[in-house]
Amino acid sequence: MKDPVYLSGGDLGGHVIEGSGWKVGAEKVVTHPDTKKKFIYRRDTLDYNDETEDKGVFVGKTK
Amino acid sequence: MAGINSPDGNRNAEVNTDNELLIAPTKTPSKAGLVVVAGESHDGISGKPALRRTAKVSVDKYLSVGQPSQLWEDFFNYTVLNGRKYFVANTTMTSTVANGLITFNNGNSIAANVGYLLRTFKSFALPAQGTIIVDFQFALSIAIQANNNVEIGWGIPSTGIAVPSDGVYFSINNAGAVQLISNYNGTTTNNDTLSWTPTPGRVNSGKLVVHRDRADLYIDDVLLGTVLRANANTVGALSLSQQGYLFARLANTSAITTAQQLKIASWNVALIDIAPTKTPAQIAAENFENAVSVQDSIAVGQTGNYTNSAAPTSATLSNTAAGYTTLGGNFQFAAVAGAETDYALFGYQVPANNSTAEGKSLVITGIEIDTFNLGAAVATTATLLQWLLGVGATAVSLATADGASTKAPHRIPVGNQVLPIGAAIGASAGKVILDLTHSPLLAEPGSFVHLILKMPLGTATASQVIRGTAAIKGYWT
Repeated sequence: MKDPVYLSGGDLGGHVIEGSGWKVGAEKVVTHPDTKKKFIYRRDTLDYNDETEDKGVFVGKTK
Repeated sequence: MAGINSPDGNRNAEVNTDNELLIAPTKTPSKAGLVVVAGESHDGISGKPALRRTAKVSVDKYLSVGQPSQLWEDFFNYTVLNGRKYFVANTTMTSTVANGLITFNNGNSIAANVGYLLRTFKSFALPAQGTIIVDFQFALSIAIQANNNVEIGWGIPSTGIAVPSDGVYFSINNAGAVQLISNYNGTTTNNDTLSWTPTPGRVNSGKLVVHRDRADLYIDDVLLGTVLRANANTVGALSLSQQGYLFARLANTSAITTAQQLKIASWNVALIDIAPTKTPAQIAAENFENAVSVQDSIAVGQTGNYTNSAAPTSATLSNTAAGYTTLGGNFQFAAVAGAETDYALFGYQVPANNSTAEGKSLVITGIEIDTFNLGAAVATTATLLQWLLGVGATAVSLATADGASTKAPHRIPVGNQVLPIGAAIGASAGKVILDLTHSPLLAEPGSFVHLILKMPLGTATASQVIRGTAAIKGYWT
């Protein structure tokens, strides 16, 4: 998987998805593989101890 | 022939085939005589002469009863020596823990002036009115030889190659003499030489009973040595110190031909004759069994998520995987939108039990969680944090259900915290505390302890980070 991004929060928290093409700050609709429900995640860069890590932060469900 | 007859001459006293007079005490209380209660510490068949002591009764006629109160216990049935419990001072000699034994001089050194000392960091008091018992299962790999020192007991040792400066202990000296030593501030002249020859490789059961006035040494339940304070009639106790360590030491005082090894299977310290007043939690703490550290048999370390002078990594909030696999500690995560999802922010697995692990359970006595806001002010929607403690799960996933071979995390609320709209960077959500002192929760070996977070309200404000500390208090048992 290229550029894996961990999803944090919501029903898909803990899942890892491919992040290539997903820009920091942009939102992405992700479909749950079992329930087929759609959730929105935003790619954020988290900074600590002079290191960074990108996560997909749960923003909400699709309308 | 004259005999013992009843007053009317009709009944005679009987003697059995061992020439023992048969006596039956009266069943009429008013006709009962005085019988003194005594106990037999040693039957005298071998070793020292028989040792019998009368029971102690107080001024108010209460019988003094002394149940052992355990102060320390260790079975060396694992492979990793707990460096937080034991101090090691060694010169060349090393040890290994395997197959139920800790073996001193596993490298078979035969050089001169080398040695290995193992002692507890904790000291044990010898109270004026009490007695401590040091019990040790030990073996020597070869027959006793000159130029080895072997010591096991209670006292103040310093290095692997030096004789202790104080204490009461089993000893094999340079000449190969086996002794019970009363070491009073470096003077070891008050001792008793034992008549005992060990079988190489055989594990023997040693028991050292230490009172300020007298010490007895039993090996395999036979009293072999006794020292009395009165024999050194200028001192107030068998040792100058009233706080000694549990210790064992092996040394080569000169070069030898064949290496000696000292092996210990288990040892413990108990207090008798004084009623125990400590709670199980206090005893566990004094045995270094507080849950701040991992239990014995695991590589030494703390259980919580704390890295010196560093922020915690950001957790991934998930229902099925642990954000952190530690027993509480520091946490932080990016603010997310509200949802009814339970997150396993912490999912700590209690080490499983097996023949080479301690396999202790964790008794949880309380939780404290302190949370604050970082990164950006809270916008749009307040952040509501609901905390729950889960115990007993057989898997890290919070979705684990109770079943024939699985157990769900059973949850108890810890408390709620709120970061209101507009809460600035650094704003505190306050502290939530769950006191389980009087109804502690048990996490058995192999099970998971979950600290669960649910945020039904929240906004995924960019850059907002929620950070805090979670203290999960408890002890191993």
